[in-house]
Amino acid sequence: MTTATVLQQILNALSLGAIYAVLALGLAIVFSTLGLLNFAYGELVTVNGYVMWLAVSAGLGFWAAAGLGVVAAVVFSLLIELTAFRPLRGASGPAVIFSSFAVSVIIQNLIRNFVSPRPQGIAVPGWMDGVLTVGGLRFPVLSVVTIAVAAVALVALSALLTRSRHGLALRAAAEDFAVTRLMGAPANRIIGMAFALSGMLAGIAGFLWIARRGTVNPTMGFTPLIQAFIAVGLGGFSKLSGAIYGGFLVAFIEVALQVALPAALRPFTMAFALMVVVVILFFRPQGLARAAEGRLA
Amino acid sequence: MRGQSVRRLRSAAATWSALTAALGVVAALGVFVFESPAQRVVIEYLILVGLVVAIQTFVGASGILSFGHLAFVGASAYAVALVTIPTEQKARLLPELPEWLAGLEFGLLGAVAVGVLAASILAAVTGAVLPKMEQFPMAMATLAVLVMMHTIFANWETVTRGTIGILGIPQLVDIPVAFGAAVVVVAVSVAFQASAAGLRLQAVREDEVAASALGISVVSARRTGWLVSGALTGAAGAIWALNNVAYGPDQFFFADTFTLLSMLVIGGMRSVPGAVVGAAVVTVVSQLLRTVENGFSIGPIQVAEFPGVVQLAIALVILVVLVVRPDGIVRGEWISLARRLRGRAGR
Amino acid sequence: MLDVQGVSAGYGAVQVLSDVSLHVDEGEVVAVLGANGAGKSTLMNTLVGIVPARTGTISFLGKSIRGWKTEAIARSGLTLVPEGRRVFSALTVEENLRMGAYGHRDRTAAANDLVELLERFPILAQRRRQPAGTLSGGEQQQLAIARALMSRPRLVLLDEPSLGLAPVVVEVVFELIRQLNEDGLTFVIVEQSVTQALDVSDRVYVLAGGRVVAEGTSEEMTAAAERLEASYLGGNE
Repeated sequence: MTTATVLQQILNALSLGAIYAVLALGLAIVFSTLGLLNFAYGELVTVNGYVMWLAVSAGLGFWAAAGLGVVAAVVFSLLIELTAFRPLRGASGPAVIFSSFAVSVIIQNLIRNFVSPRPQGIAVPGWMDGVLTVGGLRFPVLSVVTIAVAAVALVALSALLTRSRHGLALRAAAEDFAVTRLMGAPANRIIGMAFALSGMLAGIAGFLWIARRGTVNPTMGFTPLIQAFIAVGLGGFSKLSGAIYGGFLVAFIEVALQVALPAALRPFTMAFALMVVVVILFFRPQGLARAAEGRLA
Repeated sequence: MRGQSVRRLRSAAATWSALTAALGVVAALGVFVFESPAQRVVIEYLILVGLVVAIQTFVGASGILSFGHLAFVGASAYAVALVTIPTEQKARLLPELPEWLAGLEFGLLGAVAVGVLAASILAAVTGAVLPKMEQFPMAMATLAVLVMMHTIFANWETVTRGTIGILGIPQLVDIPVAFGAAVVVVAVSVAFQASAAGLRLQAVREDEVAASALGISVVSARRTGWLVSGALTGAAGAIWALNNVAYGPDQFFFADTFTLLSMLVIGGMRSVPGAVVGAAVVTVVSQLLRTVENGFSIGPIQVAEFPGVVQLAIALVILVVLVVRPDGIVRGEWISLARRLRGRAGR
Repeated sequence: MLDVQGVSAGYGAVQVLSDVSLHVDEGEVVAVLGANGAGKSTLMNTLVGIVPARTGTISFLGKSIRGWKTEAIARSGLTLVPEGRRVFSALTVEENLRMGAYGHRDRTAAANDLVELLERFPILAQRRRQPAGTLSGGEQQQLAIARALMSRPRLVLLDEPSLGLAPVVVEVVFELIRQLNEDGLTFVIVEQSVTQALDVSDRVYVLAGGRVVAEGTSEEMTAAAERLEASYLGGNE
């Protein structure tokens, strides 16, 4: 393999990793704040996709459609909180997971029936399909844009979490929800914030992902869900930054497997990636990120 | 302590007898009263009971939701296919099988044994890793197992014929067989959950910290439950395969996982009777709604078909049940039907 | 200031507190003593609304707070320093303190409070930018108390402040409580360490099996304990 190919694969992995990182973070925010796994998280990407498709079909430009899609994802995330999580506060673990599973099934079925079970195409602006040539190396514009957008989103989120009062409350709640309430922080507001941020991240990762694949279909949500979960699982379920590392790690594993596996085995990439993840989790069930500094055993 | 275990076993036996009687009634109706379409529903129901109870053995006792059990069903089903398809047909369908496999042709019991073996191997491999994780991560890991096995089923064409699906499995299941299998699965499940190992798992479910303070190994308890449940699912899965006779990878994926788990949630996860009741409720609702799914006419009005309405309805029912009665229809745990009946009789 | 009448509470099917009544006047330090499992922590959790009270009344500053959400209770001036400190270990000391003032809208006041508290707790000032998890047990206890102070509470509940701390450190913590009380802050302290608690408090309640089995001033209690001790060591029958 030439250096050029290696570099291109690295870029590929980075841009895929950027998407997974943002996606994983969205899932992790809700999990670390509430200890709840949002099974309908993948559907946020689906909703984002279909809103974009509707917007583009109605004549809006790609970026406007993307913006609308993100808004839709935020709204749906809050709706999911209202329908699947709030009524079940305090219920048992399986009950809560299952209620969000039920919501995801509902959303999928509604889309399948009221739109169409078949995939719909979305026109991605031509310039995004282009390739930049710098010093003999070819950089797909899409990859560069993906990394840039994801980076901006992550930096903005980081600023929100570290500088603002509400971000502080969210980080505190991620560590100890009960004590955060003792400080006068309203539970509903914190939860709402977590879900809203989760929706925003899903929306951003969503449109970046759709720009790569160009189509939407009713069941498109579960691949992002699995990828997000794996990323969070690898990165450590308790730390938010772990989700980001996990996202990049999953992307690198995926790209590495695609390159290294013989053609006959390539359809099994997902299975192998999952097996690698399971092996990693065997040696470190708590994930790869270092435990939060100073956390007492 | 002796007295307690005797009481537990008696309570378990009572539950099993009550369930066997109830299922027996359903089976008898199917054999002697119902006609062909309804008979199929009875067989399907009895097979579902086997599957749901097998899943409940882990999910109910451990309190951890598993999305991966259909992977066990799939492993069992494909293994059954490999050893039951008549040799000639097998040579045509799966030409690249190794010789020793190509020649195998088992009957009902042999097939079930093979199914159990296949599922148990998968359970052992996954059980080495999954029980070490915490509750929520483990639940999601079972999802990963489901996806992983689906990818394998869909791509390992020499063995499974990939997405085309496999066919030619002999139809070896009738109502008595399905009834017998359900009864056996219920017996093993009830026995496990009343046994020391089962109690340890339930203790972990109730209070992980307290249980390990008592010296119970959390990982060990979960692993045992996972293995037993996996093996049972393999058995139920074999029966399923021998009834369905043709299937593909998509039958061991999300849609059916949702249906099976919803039976558990609606009926009540914590007890075997809950699983049986949940399976009944969902079966009835599905049958009623199936007509809607295909479109029907009320007089001059044509109601268009609505694919997925069954799933949609079940999902809505689930949400309502979870809010109103989160423990399911059959609430609470291990209260034998017999004891409840005695209570009603005013003793 | 705080008036509790006939409160029962528990977790699920388990009843922990039965018919508990107590009161706290402004400026007092009240100790709640009892063995492990007597229900002391449950009582604290019930007062701040973490555990719902099943019967009885709880009134604070004249208002009935039973059934209020925890965050509302905290905002009304009743705050809890929970058992085991529970500082936000991944957040810095300063962030912990800023979080303490979350309930208050007045940002300038909060900023001033922060400066004041850092002056009062020089150790915390030193470790200002360190993650709270790197602090020692005693320092974390100080941080937990300082964090509670940031919300300008009227009454502070302390759940086992001496837990897991070396005796020397415990001294420091209780001295701090004494000083704060002299400055006008009201305290309810839950403790297993009897001597220290009796030393610093004005009145005592003793909890056993979820009920109040004794109450009185600290002097009365100390005298009673001494008499008991004397009778054990003195006469031998």
